[in-house]
Amino acid sequence: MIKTLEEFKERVALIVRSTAVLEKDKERNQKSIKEFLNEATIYFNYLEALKKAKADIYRNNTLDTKINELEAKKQVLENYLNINKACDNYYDYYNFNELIYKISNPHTLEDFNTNLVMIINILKEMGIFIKKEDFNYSSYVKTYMESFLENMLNQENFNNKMKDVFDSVYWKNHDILTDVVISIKRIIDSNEKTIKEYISKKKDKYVTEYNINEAEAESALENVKISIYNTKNINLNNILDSFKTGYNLSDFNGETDFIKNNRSKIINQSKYELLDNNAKVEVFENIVLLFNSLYEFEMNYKYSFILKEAKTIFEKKEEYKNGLITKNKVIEDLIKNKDKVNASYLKIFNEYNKIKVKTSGFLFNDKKKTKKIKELEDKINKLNVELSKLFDDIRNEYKEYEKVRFESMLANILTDSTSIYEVYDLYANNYFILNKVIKDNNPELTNEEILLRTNEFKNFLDSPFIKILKTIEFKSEENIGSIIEERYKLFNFDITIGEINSNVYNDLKKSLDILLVYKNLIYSKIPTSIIEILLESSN
Amino acid sequence: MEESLKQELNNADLNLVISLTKDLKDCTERLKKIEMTDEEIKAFELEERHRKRKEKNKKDGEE
Repeated sequence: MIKTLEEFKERVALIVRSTAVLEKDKERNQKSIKEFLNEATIYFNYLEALKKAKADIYRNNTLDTKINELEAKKQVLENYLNINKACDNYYDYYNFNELIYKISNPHTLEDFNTNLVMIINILKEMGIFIKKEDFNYSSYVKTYMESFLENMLNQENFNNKMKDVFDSVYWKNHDILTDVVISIKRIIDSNEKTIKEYISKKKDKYVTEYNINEAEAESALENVKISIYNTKNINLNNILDSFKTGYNLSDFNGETDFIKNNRSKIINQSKYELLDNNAKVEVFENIVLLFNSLYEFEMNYKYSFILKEAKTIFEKKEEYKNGLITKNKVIEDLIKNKDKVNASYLKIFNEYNKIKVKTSGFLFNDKKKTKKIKELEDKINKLNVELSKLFDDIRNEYKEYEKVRFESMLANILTDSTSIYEVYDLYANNYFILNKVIKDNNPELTNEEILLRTNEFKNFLDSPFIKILKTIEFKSEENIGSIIEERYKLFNFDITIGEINSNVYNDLKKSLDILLVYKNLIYSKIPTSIIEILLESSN
Repeated sequence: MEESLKQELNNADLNLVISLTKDLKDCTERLKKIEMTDEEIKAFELEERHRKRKEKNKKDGEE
């Protein structure tokens, strides 16, 4: 019986040698073949189970719990920073912008109603209880919203009921939904004080509840994001994915020629070998930064049309600065006028109705009555035309309202020293404008594609590694590729960026990707032998 | 397998375990390829007997 490892190794070696001999004359050695096969199978099964058991220790020890904890911290800090920004700009940072965009561009009537319910609920939470009297904007809006408020809690029949109401109103007013949006916008604007007070109180409560250090919240968030990035990178599944998608594990088993060759495209190998261990670790860290700098470079290239628009506004900022004030004034004048005409209309309409049903007394004389009715009908028609034009004018003013509001805000905020990142951040936080600028840049995009782009852009701005775009002024015409090359010379890197998608650029990215996989593997402290077992078992 | 061997294998370097497993996997696959079924052995033995008889007859004839 084999009792020691040494004996076992010898036995396995014997089986290997014997197999070669047995293969030469299988017919006459069937007894030995069966015996060796039986023995080898027992050993193989045992070792396979042992390998799996060892790998399972790593498989079960993922960093998911740590990542979840970090994500929860990130969420708390993001919520705080969002509420904090909402104190100054509740429209963009308290979800109003997105919901208004959605009700302004509904896919279906149900979609419109669902988002409108959400707005009403947010306002309710703020202590603003919407009533049917709040919708005196027009009689059609009132009809629609009266039914809406009555039925919105009745989930089962709500959409069917609202469809009936919509159908009955639509033939009289094709712009009913636009008018509802205008009404709700006006309700939000007229409650600015209450909304601001609510958000401010909510912020104070949040700070106490989560013990937020307000002065350090932003840097704390950045640190948490970096921790999430690093932890996800060394997570087992991420490492396994790297080798499932084409890389050969043996190329990463230590300082192989493969690793040296790829690193020499970033930093000269002889220079690297002269570095002490700490400096070598720094090279790894700087490779991460360089990789992310290239991400900045690419995304800035892809979304530079946003900067172009911001530059145009900045160049004519004096024209744009008072755009919102002017627009608000025009709208208020139109609304006042509309209310005045509407009051006259109602007065005459009442008089008209009274005369029409009159059967005795003054004006009962048929001739006079007919004359008076004709006179009133003419006035009603005239006022109707006037009202209709005023409603159209108001709708037109509101069509561009969000654009004007944003342009006006930009013209007031932008200065010569505003960074590219700050401009992007302003656009990213305005759902309406971000969608618009992306669509304007490429009108061929579908709604799904626009959504993908807006998410991509927001995710990019969420990166904790954005450094370069935070230091370059948005008006600058500097070549970011050259800036990156110069910046990394300070870290002994000798790189040529080239044009995006050129061979030089793609080669550099490929090498960086390889070095990041190598770094992740080392930092994860998972032996390559374990990776090998896990890859084997996942095939 | 002996407990003492199992213990040693459990504490062995994982690379060694992987290498031994690879050798054993290779051997079992090769041995399986050359392992014959009872029918195949019987057929072979029959063929052998025929061959030997043929050889003997040939030899007897020559003599």
